[in-house]
Amino acid sequence: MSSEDFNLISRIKEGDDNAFNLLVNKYKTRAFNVAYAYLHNAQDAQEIAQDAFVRVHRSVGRFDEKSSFYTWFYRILINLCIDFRRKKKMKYLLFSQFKSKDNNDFDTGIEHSIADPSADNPAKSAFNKEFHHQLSKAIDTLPEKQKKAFVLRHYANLPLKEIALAIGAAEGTVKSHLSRASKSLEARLGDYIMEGSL
Amino acid sequence: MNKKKDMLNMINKDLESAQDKVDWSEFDKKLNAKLYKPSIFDIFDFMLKPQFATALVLLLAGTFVFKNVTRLEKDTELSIEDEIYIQEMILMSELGEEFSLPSSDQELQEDYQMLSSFNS
Repeated sequence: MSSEDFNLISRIKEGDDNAFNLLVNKYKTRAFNVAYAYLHNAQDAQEIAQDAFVRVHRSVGRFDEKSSFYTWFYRILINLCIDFRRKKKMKYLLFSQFKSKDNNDFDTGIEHSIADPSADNPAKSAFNKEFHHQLSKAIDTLPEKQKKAFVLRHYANLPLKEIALAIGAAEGTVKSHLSRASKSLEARLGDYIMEGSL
Repeated sequence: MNKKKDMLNMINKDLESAQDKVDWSEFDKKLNAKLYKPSIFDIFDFMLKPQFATALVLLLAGTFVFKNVTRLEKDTELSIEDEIYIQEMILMSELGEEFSLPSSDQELQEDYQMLSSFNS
């Protein structure tokens, strides 16, 4: 654990709210990014990122400081994301009979592909939203370990070593997960990548 | 390799557009509200504390005592009708002792003689 995090955690344990605010400011963007990669919705991602910080605040006394703070934090965050999705899916299954058949994305929470009329280029805006929609679906189809590795690498910018600690695998295995995940996403998003890079 | 790079660039753009939707000051405000709002788990935690059990036992005992005392008061309390009735009974008994009716002919005779002697 970095000495800065170690210092902040010690102060939080002593009840220093200012230290907690510093920790939140340090990790909130990355927490949002990870939650967004799992939930594909900015509003839900904010809620879950906040809930993860609340969990940290309440259970910081139980954190043994043997592992790095963010390995612990991302475990909490990802578990909350998975739990949130499970609950949302359950709600969908319970209430799907009242929903129209067109509303297929209710369970995934993917933001809908509606072009933003205020955008400078409506066609590009529509394309970006469609890309987001397809990317979300593609990430959801990845096996859980590949998904975790990919999200932590490209959404949280974690180094391989930290990803290995967070998902409980060797660095070589993490590399293999990342490579497979990238290939799988490239295959699914091929057309969009060609079009988007033009 | 380029394809991967393009894909990662597009993912970054997608993420940046999502971040643009976030009002971080609002995020902090909501987080603070969540931090200081008691959750259902806090309530359970509190219920497991010995102070809560003691307070609950005291409350139940207090309620039991209060209920019984008020019931006892109600049982011994007299209504206005009861009080009037009792007062009437006392008055009647007092009057009855002074002006009790003769219970036999002999007593009647004696009363009559007494009244006659007063008159004469």
